[in-house]
Amino acid sequence: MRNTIYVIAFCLFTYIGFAQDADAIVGVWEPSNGKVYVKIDKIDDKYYGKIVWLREPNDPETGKPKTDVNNPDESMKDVPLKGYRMLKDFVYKGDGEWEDGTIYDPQNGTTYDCVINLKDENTMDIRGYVGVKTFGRTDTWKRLEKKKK
Amino acid sequence: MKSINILILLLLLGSFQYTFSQEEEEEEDYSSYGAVDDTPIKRYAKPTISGMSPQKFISLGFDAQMPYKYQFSDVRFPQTNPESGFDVEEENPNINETGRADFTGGLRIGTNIPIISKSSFVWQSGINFMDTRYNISESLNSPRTPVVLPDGTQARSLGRILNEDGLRNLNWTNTFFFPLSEKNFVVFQSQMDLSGNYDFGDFQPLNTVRYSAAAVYGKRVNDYYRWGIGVARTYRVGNLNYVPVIMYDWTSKNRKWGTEILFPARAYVRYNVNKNSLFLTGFDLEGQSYRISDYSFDGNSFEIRRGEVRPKIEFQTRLHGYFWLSLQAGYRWDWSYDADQLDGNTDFFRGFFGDQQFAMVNSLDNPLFFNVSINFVSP
Amino acid sequence: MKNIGLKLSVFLCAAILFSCSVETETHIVETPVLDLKASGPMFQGSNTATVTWEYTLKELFPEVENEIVIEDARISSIKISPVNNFDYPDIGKIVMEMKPKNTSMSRVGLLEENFSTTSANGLTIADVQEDFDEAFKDERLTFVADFDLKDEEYYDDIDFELVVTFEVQTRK
Repeated sequence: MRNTIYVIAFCLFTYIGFAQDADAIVGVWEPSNGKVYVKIDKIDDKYYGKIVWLREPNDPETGKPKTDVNNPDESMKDVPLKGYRMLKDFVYKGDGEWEDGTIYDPQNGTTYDCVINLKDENTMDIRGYVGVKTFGRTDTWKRLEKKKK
Repeated sequence: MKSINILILLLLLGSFQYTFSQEEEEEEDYSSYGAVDDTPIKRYAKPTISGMSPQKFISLGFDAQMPYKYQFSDVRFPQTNPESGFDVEEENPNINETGRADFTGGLRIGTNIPIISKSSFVWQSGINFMDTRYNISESLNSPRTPVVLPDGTQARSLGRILNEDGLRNLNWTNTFFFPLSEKNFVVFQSQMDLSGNYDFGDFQPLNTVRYSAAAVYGKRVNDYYRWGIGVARTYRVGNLNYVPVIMYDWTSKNRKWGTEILFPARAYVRYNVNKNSLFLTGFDLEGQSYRISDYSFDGNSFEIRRGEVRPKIEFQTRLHGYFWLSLQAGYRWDWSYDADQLDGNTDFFRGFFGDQQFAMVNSLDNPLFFNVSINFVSP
Repeated sequence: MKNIGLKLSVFLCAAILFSCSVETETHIVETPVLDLKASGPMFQGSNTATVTWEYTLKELFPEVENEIVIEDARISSIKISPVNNFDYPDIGKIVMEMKPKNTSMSRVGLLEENFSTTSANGLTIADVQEDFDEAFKDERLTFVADFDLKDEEYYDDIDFELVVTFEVQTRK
């Protein structure tokens, strides 16, 4: 009986371990500047991230919620920043790396190529670059979880 | 046995915890979220502010000065005149050679490549090359007396040297950006320059490398404004000098106007036409200490202290993607073209108040200049 | 399905009559009514509803004889309608993205006013639509709607009816 339990436990544990691999970036994360929280989820087979919280949610001049005013596409300037999909199309490549994605910077309306490297369960390096990885910048994001009140 | 049981159970619980906690949430109040581990989150100042002219990763350009006249004094070597030092009077030098430079300028290649680029630290490194060719027309007044070295041999006049060889500057610059917090940062830059009339087949001895550095402590007040104060060891005025550095970058809220100041190296006022074009007006201070191999012997280095102030207007525009075109037009004002002889290739500090005499006192008239470059820039 | 086939045929005939280009012909393609679903429980703020549309090019353009080559595709309208008799919570702006099988996700539309629970909501369409011909070829498109939930929480699933209209140009 004990043996069976161990075997089941072991199988379950390794299964959970595998399944978590590709989905390990799913969750809520905070970039180093602390201005937003980003929730990463999985749609179909790829990973996407959207802004779920802003430190300064309203435009100080108008008092209204911030929108994507720097978007080069005029028709999309009213898209609210809260809920904005800024990370798109990441594919898990194994070894803690998610590639082929893009990251959008609402501050200047630029979309960069992007890769994510999971350093440990709660820390990831996210690098946005232009063309080749040399011409880019890495930021370290920390995982957030709900704190019990 | 029991302890292993518990251990496995705990491990299982640990891996399940994440999925369970998601489903139990009823009210998604993101403001109650906190970091998983309790280490305080470090915030970092960004290396730029909004609206600045794009930073150049790679630059390929051509600089050209319009015709001007020059006057070079006698060339004095202390060995020839051991009693009187250099004996070149600054106020009224004995003019030995005059001429006209029809064209001065050449190729400029610049690089500034990120080696490490993270929010917490940026290190950029680059090799820069500047070639100055002189096209000297018939000297209005060929050297009155030929240049004679202390050992008796005759050397080319400076005009001939410039016409035949030109001047070269090869530079390696490293810039380090350390954000200390969300608003404070330190920038440190170091440069190595090899400047002279050498050509690539016949390099200058490496102990003639000149070192410069600058350190600035800055405050990034907000996304539109930052300032900094520091000190630099520089050759920009031709001579070795220690100067204070003032950084002042500002952009108006509507992102149309701004300043980009890193005094004394440069100071500009900027007008952003739109996201793809801008105008800059202001000045650049350029300078280096150029070794003239013909006049350097016995382990000494005879160097022209070249310093130029260039007030100008510049137009920058995006060509395609991250390639930008820059067009400059301005006035090249000669700050210094005097020469020093350096014993044993080591430099000395004259500063503003030193009274060491020059080995040559030269002056150039001031022409217009034009500069065109194509640049691969940072987003 | 028959109903849709009839609708498409009528549209295609009209499109062929109006096409002036020798090389390409324009088709108006309307998706069937898609069930855009967000799974509960949901929370105040941004939530996501998705639906995947799978189709074959043959089925969409039955009258094209040779190999179907998509030259260009553009979204011309996006309508999100409330499901009849559904008790909706307070929903604000909606941003629609399109995720093709092999190319990048793109923003395609924005509903600037609050979601109306009584009539169809037409979204403002994005001007910039890059590589939609590539996306259309892969015969599988996932539509992702990020909507703002104004109430505190909502425990059940939320369904919307989605119809997207494309203008597709195929090579003759």
